[in-house]
Amino acid sequence: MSDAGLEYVLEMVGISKSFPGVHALDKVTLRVKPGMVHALMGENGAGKSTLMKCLFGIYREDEGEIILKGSRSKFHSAKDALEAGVSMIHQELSNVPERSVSENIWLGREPLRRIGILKFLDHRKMHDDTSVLMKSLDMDINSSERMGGLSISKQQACEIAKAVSYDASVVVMDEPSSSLTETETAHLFKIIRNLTAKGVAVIYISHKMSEIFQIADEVSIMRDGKMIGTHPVADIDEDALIKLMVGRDNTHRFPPVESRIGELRLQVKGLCSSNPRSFRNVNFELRRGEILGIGGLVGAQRTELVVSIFGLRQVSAGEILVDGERVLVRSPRDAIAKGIALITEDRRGSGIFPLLSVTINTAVASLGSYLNVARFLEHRKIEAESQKLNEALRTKTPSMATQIQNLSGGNQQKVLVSRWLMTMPDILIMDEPTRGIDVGAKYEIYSIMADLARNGKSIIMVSSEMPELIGMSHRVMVLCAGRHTGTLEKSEATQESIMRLATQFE
Amino acid sequence: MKKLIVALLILVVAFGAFGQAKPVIGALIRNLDEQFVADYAANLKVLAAKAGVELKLLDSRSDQATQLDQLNTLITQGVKYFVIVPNQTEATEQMAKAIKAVGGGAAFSNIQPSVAALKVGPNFFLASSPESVAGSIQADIIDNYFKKNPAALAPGKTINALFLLGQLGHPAQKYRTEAVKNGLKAKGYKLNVIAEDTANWKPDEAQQKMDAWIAAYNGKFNIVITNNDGMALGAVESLLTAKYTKADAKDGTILKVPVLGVDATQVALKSMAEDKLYATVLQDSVGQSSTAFELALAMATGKYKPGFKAWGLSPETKPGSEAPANDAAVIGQCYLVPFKAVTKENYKSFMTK
Amino acid sequence: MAAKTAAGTIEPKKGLRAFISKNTNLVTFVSLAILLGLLTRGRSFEWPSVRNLMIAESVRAFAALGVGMIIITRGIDLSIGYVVCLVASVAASFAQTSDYTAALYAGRDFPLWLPFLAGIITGGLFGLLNGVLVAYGRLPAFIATLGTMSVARGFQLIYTKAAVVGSLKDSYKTISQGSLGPIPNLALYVAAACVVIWVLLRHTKRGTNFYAIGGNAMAARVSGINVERETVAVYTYAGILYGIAGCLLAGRLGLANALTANGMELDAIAAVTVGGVSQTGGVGTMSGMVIGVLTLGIINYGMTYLGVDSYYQLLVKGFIIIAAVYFDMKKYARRS
Repeated sequence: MSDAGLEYVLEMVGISKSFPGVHALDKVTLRVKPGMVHALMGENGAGKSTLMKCLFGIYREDEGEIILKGSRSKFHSAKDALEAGVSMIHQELSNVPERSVSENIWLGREPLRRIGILKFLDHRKMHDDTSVLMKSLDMDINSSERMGGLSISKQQACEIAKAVSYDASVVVMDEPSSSLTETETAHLFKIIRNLTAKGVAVIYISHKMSEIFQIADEVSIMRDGKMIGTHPVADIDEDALIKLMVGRDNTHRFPPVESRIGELRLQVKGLCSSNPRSFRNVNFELRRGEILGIGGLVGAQRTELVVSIFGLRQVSAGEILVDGERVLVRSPRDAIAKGIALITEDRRGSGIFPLLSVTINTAVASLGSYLNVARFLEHRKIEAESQKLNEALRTKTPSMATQIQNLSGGNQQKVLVSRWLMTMPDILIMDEPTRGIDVGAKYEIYSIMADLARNGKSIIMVSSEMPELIGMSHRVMVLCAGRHTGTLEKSEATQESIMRLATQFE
Repeated sequence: MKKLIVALLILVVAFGAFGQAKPVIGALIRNLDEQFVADYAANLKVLAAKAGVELKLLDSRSDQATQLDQLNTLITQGVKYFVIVPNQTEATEQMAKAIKAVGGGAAFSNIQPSVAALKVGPNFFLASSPESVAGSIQADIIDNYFKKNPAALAPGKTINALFLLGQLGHPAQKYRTEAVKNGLKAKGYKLNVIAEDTANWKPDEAQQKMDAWIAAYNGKFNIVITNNDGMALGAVESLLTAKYTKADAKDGTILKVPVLGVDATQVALKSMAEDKLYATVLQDSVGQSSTAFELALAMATGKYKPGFKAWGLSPETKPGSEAPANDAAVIGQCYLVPFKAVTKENYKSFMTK
Repeated sequence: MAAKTAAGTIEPKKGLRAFISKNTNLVTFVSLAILLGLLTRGRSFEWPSVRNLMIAESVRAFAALGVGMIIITRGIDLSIGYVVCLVASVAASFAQTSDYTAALYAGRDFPLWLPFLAGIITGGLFGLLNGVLVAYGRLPAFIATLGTMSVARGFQLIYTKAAVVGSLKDSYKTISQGSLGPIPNLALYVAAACVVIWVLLRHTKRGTNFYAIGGNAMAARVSGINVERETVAVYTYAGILYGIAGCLLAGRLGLANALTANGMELDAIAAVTVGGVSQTGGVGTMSGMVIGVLTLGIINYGMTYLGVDSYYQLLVKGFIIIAAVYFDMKKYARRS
């Protein structure tokens, strides 16, 4: 690479950016060395995304400069940046699901073949180039497959391949492992090492401590729009890192769950999905005051299982008993009536109402309990109760009338928890309750879960994060490709034992 | 931003709205999309300019509710005398009453006012040629054609007709169609409607309908009757394309069957000159608008008295057969502008050079 | 609008600018009213002008309230014009004078409530049909209502045999044309409907459900809202409002025919959009809808008053609709 002689491939120096009323970035400096993985950490709202948006020209910084490979650069769009060798792998994938892998990779710059004055797409070249690219990155992806048909991790791999195909010198990855299982993450790391070996610098944004220590060479920590510092990963430990991020001591990652396990509350017997490729013959039970973790790899059908219990999907066989009584759950309404609540994994897609107020977002599932004799809504009670719940969960919002889209991810999640607590459920199902939430807020969510369990609620927690499963659950139930492969008591649950069950393929 | 754009637009169009104290006549026009009505409005503007009158002309785009709103608006502006091309006969009484309330008057054209509307006061007039007359004249032309060419009739003095209708429910569609059917029956023909459908006044729709009908009823019909020239020309085009023609034009057309329209537009007259369209009917837009305008102007300038001659026409004296000119009480308020049959014999006199 | 800060909280703007950006529709309306007042040298503020405006916009207001609610749930209804036309014809047919020989039911004298009952049922049934097609048939609202629009038109022509349904009883016409003191009856009906819609949207569970469905249908389903049933409800309510609109329109015109209310869907959709009901769903208020109707009304009225050629009026209306939707999209579609 031509820039091999430079110490830094990318320098962002003294970047400031303010929005009316707030300094989102305050003289932030970030220097990235070639061939290294540079982790960027910080709680949500610390300014990481704003900084990256300045890099990609989505925001225009108020002051400061961006120096790429030794020369001042200014990008006006992500496409500009891509062509200069800076690319971004987003948290949300942005591909064309109905087109093939190779068409996606070469989108907008397809190789052409001339016949006379006419130009045609050169499908063969596209296919061959893709195959070579995939091989060089050790990726096992067929270039002619439909993008939408691939798993999330493979789609992500394709995005990385696309970045490489642009001859990228800096690749920014924003929470790339958030929807990946541990093996997939391991594979991602292998791809990252391939990249760095080629001299590519990787800016890795993540909340997962373990990943940082596994993959990163250097780590920069941001807090409240300021750069706190850059350290070689070898010189720092997890506790110190957390301390830097949250600005406070945070030695305990999980609160103690001190609940009394009581009588049987939920029994699931021989439950089969009506989709033959999903889960089948799942049996488990849940007791009062218990937190049951559900673990497994992507594709284990954990989400399918819980949404089916909640009545969002059809089941073909099996029964569900609540407090010993057989119940028929054909819709979420039925489930709510039986005291079951579900916080979905997709906060944007099926959780929040972005344009509606915090109050309505909190109260929407329990309006039926707040009607006066004339069947009109009792606004005062609704507002009071929503506020009480959100205050109890310490939701940070300017007011209860604020549109929920203006809250951070962690606070949105707390509003969703409030929503379901307002329905006064006995059984709370939480699907990936801490996805995309910063460390501080995670701890608060865990505390809320522990409190609920202590107060006799039963919780089912689906999670892809092993430490979370082990730290919070009384028992961990593991699925593999739709089969229930085992349940571990707290004392037996370790990363290894869970992984063994999660990979017990037929 | 939004309000800025709106404000600018209004400002621009508002220019020249500051009027002066000339006699003011309001013109409420049914729908300028129709050729007849457009010609009527154009002539009103010419007349107003000549007479030095301020003409407030508004188009209701076929919506009676809009026309009522427009009337109310002009009344609040102080306009008292109107020329009206109403949307429906049934709405005329209400409009007349509103005008009467401010001591004004109006002349109705094209769509007849109801008897009740004229009975609202002596300052309300009919200045029109009822639609049904156009149908009756079509019936006369058809009668003439079959008298000259009896071989074209089906056995038993039967007419096998295809009807292309205007927009359904439109007064011109309804009255013209009814009148031509009744007229033919009254002349002793057996009318057999092979097919009838709307083509919404449009040549292209008429052509499509006709294409389908030629395929379905080839040889089974002996005349094509339409509510306006636009559709008639669409049908002519379709027949030509299907080679539904004969070698000579001895009966006045090279088509195997005669096609009839209404309006006598210039294109239609040209088609007649080429022996394609058989005949049409002239509804006299100049005659109607001039009569109505002269009545309104006379009222506005205080020159009107019973028996006033407008556009050289005197009011009727004897009740006729059609409303509202069939009621002795209002017969002095009815000015009937004649319709004219446009045939091979006279079409040249209507062509503009 | 407020800026998003790093901490994920917002700082609300204060003062006049904030008031304007929060109440764009009201500010637009007031500035237009003042502008028109200047152009007409104060005449547009006189009572007869205000009265004319109220009468002219009343029927549209009913249609706008209906389709406004539908748009809040992220739907659309193109059938309005012809449904109102059919309703007006049905209502008129039961209100013709008994001595009118060309009446649909010649010689019959029906009680005064029958045209209203028949009209509202007709409107409600069409709304129900729209709702069922959208909710259970899973047809896009655009297509479903395009279909019912044609069905309504067909029924109207069959029922009336394409004739004008005229000669309505004075007692029936008075319901629309009468006044209570200086205030036209029509305005009173609109006021009553506004109160009902305001209570529905603001104070009932169902109203809140409408916002939730428009805001995020999937989240609404997860929250236990019966999305299908509520969708049917909103279209049916709208249908009932069209029903009332049709009955009153027939009374106001003293007739109904195939051309009555044609194109009303465009006016109604434009009005609520100008009034701040967002096409992205989940946003809009009763007062906004009414302000939207009045804003378009004042523009119509102003252009008529100033004698603007009807073709230019169409042009202006088109620009206003495009501008309103453009600013709406800029405001709400920025996420993503």
